Amino acid sequence: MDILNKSLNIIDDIINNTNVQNLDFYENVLKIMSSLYDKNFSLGIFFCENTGYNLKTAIKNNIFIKNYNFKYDIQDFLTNNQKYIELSTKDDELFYKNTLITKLSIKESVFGFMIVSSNNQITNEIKSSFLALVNIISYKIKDYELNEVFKIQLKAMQEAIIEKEAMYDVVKKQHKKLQELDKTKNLFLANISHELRTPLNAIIGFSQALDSKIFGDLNEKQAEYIKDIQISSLHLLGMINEILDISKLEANAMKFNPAKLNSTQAIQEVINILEPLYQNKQIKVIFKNDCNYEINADYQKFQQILYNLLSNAIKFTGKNGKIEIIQETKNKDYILKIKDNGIGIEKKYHNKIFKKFVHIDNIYSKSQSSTGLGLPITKELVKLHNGKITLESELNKGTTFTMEFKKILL
Amino acid sequence: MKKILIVEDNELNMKLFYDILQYQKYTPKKAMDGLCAYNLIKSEKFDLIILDIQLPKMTGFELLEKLKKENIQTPPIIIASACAMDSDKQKAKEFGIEDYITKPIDINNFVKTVKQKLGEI
Repeated sequence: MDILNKSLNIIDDIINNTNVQNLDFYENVLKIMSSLYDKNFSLGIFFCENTGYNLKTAIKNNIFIKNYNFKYDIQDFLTNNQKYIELSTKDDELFYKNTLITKLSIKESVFGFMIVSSNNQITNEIKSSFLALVNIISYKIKDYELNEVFKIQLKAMQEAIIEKEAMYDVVKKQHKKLQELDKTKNLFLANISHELRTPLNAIIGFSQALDSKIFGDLNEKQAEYIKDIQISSLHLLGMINEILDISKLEANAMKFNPAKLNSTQAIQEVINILEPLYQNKQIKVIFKNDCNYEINADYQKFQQILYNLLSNAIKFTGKNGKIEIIQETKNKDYILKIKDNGIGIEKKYHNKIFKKFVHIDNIYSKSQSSTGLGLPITKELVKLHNGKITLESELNKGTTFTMEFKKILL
Repeated sequence: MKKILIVEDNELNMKLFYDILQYQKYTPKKAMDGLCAYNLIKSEKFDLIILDIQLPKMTGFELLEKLKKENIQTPPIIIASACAMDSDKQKAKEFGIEDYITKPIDINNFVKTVKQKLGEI
C-alpha cells in the first residue's frame, strides 16, 4: 500500500509538472505504473489518431518500445460500453498471451492502457488492481484538466473584472470631464450674459431717456424709431435671460428666495415694462389693480413668469387684440390667468409647448426669433412656487394659461 | 444738492447714469475703477453710491470688503451690475446691501430706487 501511495504521489507530481497533452507525460506515468508490477508484466498506452488506434508506446523492464504495430482489431471495444477486454495473443517480441486493455476515456486522443503478462494468466487480483489504478489515474488527469479549465475560466473572469474596472474608470473619468464641461458651460453662459448686458444697458437706457423726452421733444419718426429700438432690446434681453435661466435650472443653481409680496404691484410693474410691446400692436391689456393679494413668492421669479406669459401673449395676439390678466383665490389657492384672443394653439401642440426648443409654426413665429426656452422655464419657475400651469386654447380663438399656486397666499 | 458717487467702468453706462442723475438735480461724481472709488469715499462725503461689481483695479466686492475691514463709514449703496447670478445678489446681502439692480436697468425703476434710498419718497 505504501508503494502504491508513493507511486500515486509521484503521478500527482507528474500531472502537475508536465503537460498532459504530451507523450512524455504518459511515458512517465507508465514508468511509475510499471514499478508496481514485476518484470513479467509489460504496460502500454493507446492513442487514437487519424489513422486509427495506435499503441503509442509500451514499457517492459524499464525500456520503451515506441509506435509498436498492434495487430489485433479492437475497433468494437472502442465504441461499446465495455470497460476492458482481455485478449489471448500469439507469442510475440513484446506481448505474450494474456493482455488486458482498459479504456481511459477522459481525453478523445487517449484511448487507454494495456497490461500484458509474459508468463501467467492475468489473475483477478492483478486485473482488479490494474483497473483500479487506471481509474485513479483517469480521475487524477480529469481532476487536473478540470482544474486547468477552471484556472482558464478564473483567469478569464479576472481579466473581465479588470476590464470592467478599467471601463468603470473610463466612465468615471468621462463623468468627471462632463461635470467639468458643464461647469465651464455654465460659467461661460454667466460671463456671456454679463458681457451682453453691459452694452444693452446703454442701448435701453439711452433710448428710454430719449423716449421720456427729458432732453427735449422728438419728431414722429424719431419717436417711432426709439420705440423700435426699445422693442428689439427687450426682445434681446428676453433671450439672454432665457439662456441664463435654463443653464441655472440645469445646474440646479436657481436660487429661490420667497418673501412676502404684493402680487398686484409685481404684476403692474411687468405690464409697465412691456408697455412698448403691446402699445405698438395696439393691444389692450386689461388688469384690475384695485384688489391686493399678499403672497409668498420670489419677486424676480414671479415677475419673470408673468413677463414670459405676457410677452408670449403679446407676440401671438394680432393688432387691436385683447389680453386679460386675472387674479383670484380658490380654497386658499392663488390663481393667476393670462387670457388672450390671439391665434391660439392647436391641440396637438398642447403637451409639447412646455418642452425645450419647441417652436410652433405659425404666422408670428416665422417673423420673430425666439430661443424656444420661455415656456419650459416658466413651467419650472411655477413649480418652484409650488404651482402648476395648464392651458386652454383653440385655434384662432385665443389661449388662456392658468396657474394654480398652492399655499402661497398669505 | 445731494452728492452721488457713480462707480462704473463702462464709459457709456457711466454717461447714462451721470446724465440721468444730473437731470434729477443731483451732483454726480465719477469713479471709473474700484481704487479711485475707495480714495474718493475716504476723502469726500457722499449721500449715495451707485456701485458696479466687475471693476478694474479693485472689484465692487473687494471695495466693500476693504471699507468694512477699515471700518470706513459709507452712505447707502445701490449695486448696479450686469451679473445676473443669484450668488452675487446673495453676496451683496452679506454686505447688508438689499438694492441690487441688474443691468440693463429700467430708468424709472432706477430713479425710484435712488429717491427711496435718499429718503425722498
